[in-house]
Amino acid sequence: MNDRIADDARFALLAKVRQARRMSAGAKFLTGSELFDEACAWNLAGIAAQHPGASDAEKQQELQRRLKLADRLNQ
Amino acid sequence: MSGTDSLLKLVASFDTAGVPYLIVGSYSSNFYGIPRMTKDADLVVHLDAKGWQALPSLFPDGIELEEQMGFEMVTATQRELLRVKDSLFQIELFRLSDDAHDRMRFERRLRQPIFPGVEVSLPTAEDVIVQKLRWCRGAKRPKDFADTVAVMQIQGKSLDWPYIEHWCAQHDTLDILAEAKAEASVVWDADELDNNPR
Repeated sequence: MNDRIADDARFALLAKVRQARRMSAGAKFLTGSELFDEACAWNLAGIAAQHPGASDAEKQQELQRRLKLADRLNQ
Repeated sequence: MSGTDSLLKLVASFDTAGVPYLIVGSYSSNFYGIPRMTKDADLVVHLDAKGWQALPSLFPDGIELEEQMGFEMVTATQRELLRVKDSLFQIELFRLSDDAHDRMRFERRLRQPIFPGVEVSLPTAEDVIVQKLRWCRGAKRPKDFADTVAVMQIQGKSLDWPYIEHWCAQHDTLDILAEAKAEASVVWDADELDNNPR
């Protein structure tokens, strides 16, 4: 089973590398902030589902709290 | 305004004003490696103290100074944090320091085409690796190691290794360089098999 997992991980890595090599300079430049925007949108959707009564400002505040937490975890 | 739009507007303003800059951090490792999410852009700017104080006059609409950040601890450089209006994206400006590699990386910067008619200043792939390894040692953030390995994997074995090793010896990061090369070698081995099928 462990061999199979290692093979799958290697396959996934090589696919990721090939995809990155095919990307244009512009696409590579845009991807980082686009992924961030999408991650924020998904996170806001999660916050809205968990806190249906929250205002937009409260949801943004919670998102910012989570981003600060992520920053601390990454330090 | 998206994060990248704001960054491109800012560097276009620097180009127009003749302010030398360099896009570093995750934007540079995304350019040479495997793109990952980023919530900020890092720029090194070469200005004297007077020019640094006047810098906010060059900020395009929608970009504003957040707060005085003081010093970044790994290379002890002065920095400022910029906010993009209606966005959680941030831009950090670092003033070019007297650090030897900071200076060398800046001198070796390249104008790279990003979109038709749009060029920006970026470090070489080798300098991205040298600096990311330095952050691995100084800040101990796993993402810096992952970025280093990704740049090595995408660029392949053709990197200028003597240059990288020279600076890693100066920064005492040769051990982390060896670890990163070992991780990248999985992809290099596959490249060799692709190029020389049996």
